[in-house]
Amino acid sequence: MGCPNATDAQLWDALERVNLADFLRGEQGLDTPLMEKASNLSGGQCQRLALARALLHDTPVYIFDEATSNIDVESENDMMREIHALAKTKTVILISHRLANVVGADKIYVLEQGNLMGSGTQESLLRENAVYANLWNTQQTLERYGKGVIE
Amino acid sequence: MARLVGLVRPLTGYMLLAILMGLIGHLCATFITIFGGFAVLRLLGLSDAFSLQLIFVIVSVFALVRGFLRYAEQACNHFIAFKLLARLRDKVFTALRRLTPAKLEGRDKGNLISIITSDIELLEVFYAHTISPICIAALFTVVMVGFIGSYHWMLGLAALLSYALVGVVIPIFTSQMSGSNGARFRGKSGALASFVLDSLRGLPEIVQYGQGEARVQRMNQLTDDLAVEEARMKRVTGWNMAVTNTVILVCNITMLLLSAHLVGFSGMLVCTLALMSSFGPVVALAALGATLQNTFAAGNRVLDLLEETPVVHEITGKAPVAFSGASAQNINFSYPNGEQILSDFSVDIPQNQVIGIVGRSGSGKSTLLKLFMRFWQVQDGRIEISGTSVDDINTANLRELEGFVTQETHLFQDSIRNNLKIAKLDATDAEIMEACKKASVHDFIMQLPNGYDTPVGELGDTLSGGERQRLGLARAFLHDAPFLLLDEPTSNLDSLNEAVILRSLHEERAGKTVVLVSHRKSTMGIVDVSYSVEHGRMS
Repeated sequence: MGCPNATDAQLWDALERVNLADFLRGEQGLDTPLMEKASNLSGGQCQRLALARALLHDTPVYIFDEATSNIDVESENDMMREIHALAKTKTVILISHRLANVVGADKIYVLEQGNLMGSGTQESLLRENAVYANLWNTQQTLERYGKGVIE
Repeated sequence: MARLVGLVRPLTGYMLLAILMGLIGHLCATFITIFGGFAVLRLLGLSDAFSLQLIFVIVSVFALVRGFLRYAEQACNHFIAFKLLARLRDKVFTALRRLTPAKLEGRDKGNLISIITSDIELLEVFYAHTISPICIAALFTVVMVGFIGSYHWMLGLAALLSYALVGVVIPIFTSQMSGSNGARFRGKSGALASFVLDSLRGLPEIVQYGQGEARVQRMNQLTDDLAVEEARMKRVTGWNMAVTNTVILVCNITMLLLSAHLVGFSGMLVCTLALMSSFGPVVALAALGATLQNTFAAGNRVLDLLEETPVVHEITGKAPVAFSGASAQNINFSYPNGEQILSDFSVDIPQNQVIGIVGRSGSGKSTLLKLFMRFWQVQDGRIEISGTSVDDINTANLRELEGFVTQETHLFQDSIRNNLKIAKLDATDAEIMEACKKASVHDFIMQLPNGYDTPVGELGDTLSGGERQRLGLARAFLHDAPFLLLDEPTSNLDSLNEAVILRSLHEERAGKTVVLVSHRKSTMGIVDVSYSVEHGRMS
């Protein structure tokens, strides 16, 4: 659907970039059937497949709207890695409630209740924006539980 | 067939009543015409048997009775069918309670669902529209053959052959001709419905990638395919009807000629009228042919489920046990499909500790938890709770001691409050809120318009994985078991949500013994001791 004339090689290339190639080779490759609502794939695999489709579409601008919320951590890491790589050649708008995802952005816009609360890089926001800094620290403390570091 | 009929036994009285009423009803209908024949004979002066007035009275009575009996017979049949379905559903559900959770392992779930829904509904057809028509047709045939045969035995034989042809031979022939048409039609119809639903759900993607035209074309193609199947089915039905009607006509003419040859005018009139108006019950049998095979298959699946033996049995009558630790000693376990999951596996779970078990998918860690929960039986070795083998602990006792949280939390179509209350039926609102606070989900619930009374059905799909898992954890906290088993509770969650769950577990671990299973080393941050499992062995 992303690119109706794509060759098989291009399809596999997209799948490699989202880390689905090995899994699909273990199934029936490009002919693997998807059940209703893709119930035979996990949430993370679904999202990665959607990303592969978007990569094939090959447009100048990409918008990611909470694309990695509510999927497993491994898929999230795969997708964020690919999204950041994409930003080198495309314009990427990344929407996320998890600040760790947007840290490397060239410019971060902070929204609250429909109003712009601040903008800048990670460093400038931490310095100048108390709300942002607070949110960052809260999330970082929380994320330490997941990283196995407890105070 | 015998086992299926056997299930009707408690309702035999009603069944016989239905058959009797159907029989009498059909006889009434048939004899209305026959009495018409008597009336003609009377008018022609050929018969003194009944006066005209008497004939008119009898015919009127028959007509009224026929109407009433038809209603009563149908009511009876449907009463039997739905009563039976209710009993069957109850039996199946009871059987499933015995067989699960082990039965729900693996990919059989789709089949199970179709057994308890569509198979049981197919059985309704069997009970309401099959047993009684067959019996009625058989008894009716006997009566009519006897009546016609009373004029001449050869006529009786001719009648018997006619009924057999229409009621048995033609249906068999038709069901062979239609073969798998019905199944194919249903399959294609289902495929079209799925495609339309899929397209509606994926409308944003279709618009984004400009696939609208292609999608509509495919839909038209599927519709055309379906129309081809339907046309085929209609042709078969058409042929069936044409052949049946022709055969009946031929049989009637044969009877006319035969009876003219063998008996006098009166006999010919009565016998021919009798045959012409008596094909009703046997024609009703013709419709059965197509679905009978499917019905038997469905019935067999249901009966097999009812007779299946569970892998573990409920235990009662043992001494109660309090929790003071758990252990697994030299476990060997493999699932029925043969794969050895755990080999000579041992682990010690001391009281009040948080034990982590990490390993890749398929290494046996989830299986270990299921064995602690006694969902399955070990082949060798012992699983112990407080030094007692799990096989020696009352199942109800075991369920009180253990809490189980898995990757996905199932929420029922009910309020949030009731969904949580299944963990503790007599929980007060304060206890529920306390558990939700511990699971970091209370604030989320309070910002909903109806709070704890919000029906999950409404939120349903819009409850995120993180919110569902926190509700699952709240359930476990409400249940307040001393031994908490967590099977990949955060595997479907993103980092933030995982962190929230882990923090809750870490802060509420006082007085509990916890086993946390995960394939991620990072989850082990909150455990006291962590073990690694590889290919069913501790490493």
